[in-house]
Amino acid sequence: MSGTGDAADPWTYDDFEVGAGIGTVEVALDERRLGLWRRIYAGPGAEAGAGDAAVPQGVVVAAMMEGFIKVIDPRPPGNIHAGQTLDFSGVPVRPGARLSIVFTCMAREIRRERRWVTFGVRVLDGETPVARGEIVSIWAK
Amino acid sequence: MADADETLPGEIAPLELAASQDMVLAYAELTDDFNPIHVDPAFAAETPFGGPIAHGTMALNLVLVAVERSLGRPVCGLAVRFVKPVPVGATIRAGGRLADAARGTYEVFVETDAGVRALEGTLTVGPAPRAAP
Repeated sequence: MSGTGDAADPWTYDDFEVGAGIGTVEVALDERRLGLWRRIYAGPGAEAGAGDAAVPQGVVVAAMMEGFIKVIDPRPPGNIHAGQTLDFSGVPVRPGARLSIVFTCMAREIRRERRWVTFGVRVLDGETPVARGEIVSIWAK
Repeated sequence: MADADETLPGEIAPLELAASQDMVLAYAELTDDFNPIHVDPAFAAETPFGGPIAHGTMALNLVLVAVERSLGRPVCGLAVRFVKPVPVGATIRAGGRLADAARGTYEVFVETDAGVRALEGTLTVGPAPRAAP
């Protein structure tokens, strides 16, 4: 939903309030998701996540992006992902985990007529921190 | 951060991925990100990119897979910029070079088969996982 509370209105630059929470999304690391991961990144290492082995860190990144897509919906078409920071806690994440992904607005700025928005993200497995970082975006509207 | 007494390879072995339309659609499904800039050729043709582009994290994840396969170590932290778009249909290659052995920091990149840098940044790896006793 948008910052105006109307689900039909895309989130715009003006909807983001620096320091404000945006929302929390749960993403399940189910077999469908792991199968898609293996299809894209096939080869040694892609098998990780099968059985009880920890999922590849990239699966957490992909889940983070799904959370981002879901928590800020709808979005104006044409947004650009310009940068990314992430710190991983080192805690292994197992197949079947349900990750909670928490988003906040960290900063926004208009530079060279582009609308830059920085989002903070925290990924949790239950109460356990998995990763945290920032998503830097150029917002289309 | 890597253990100081462990020797880190000077390079991350390059790893390639074809960012074909099929793979980009699979990545869209993986992330539920069907932004038309990635999946709608007609829309994307009207943007400054002139055509569909791959998701930025598709390239970032190739770096993480390359690290996993080449070094067998987890990534502790990363900071990257998506400096140029990857056109759908390009083949991308991820790699990296050891920049600070004490910290376990690598300069990493992803480039297209046309030699265009799409992603640049740094990441720091942790110690190799210990085998279970």
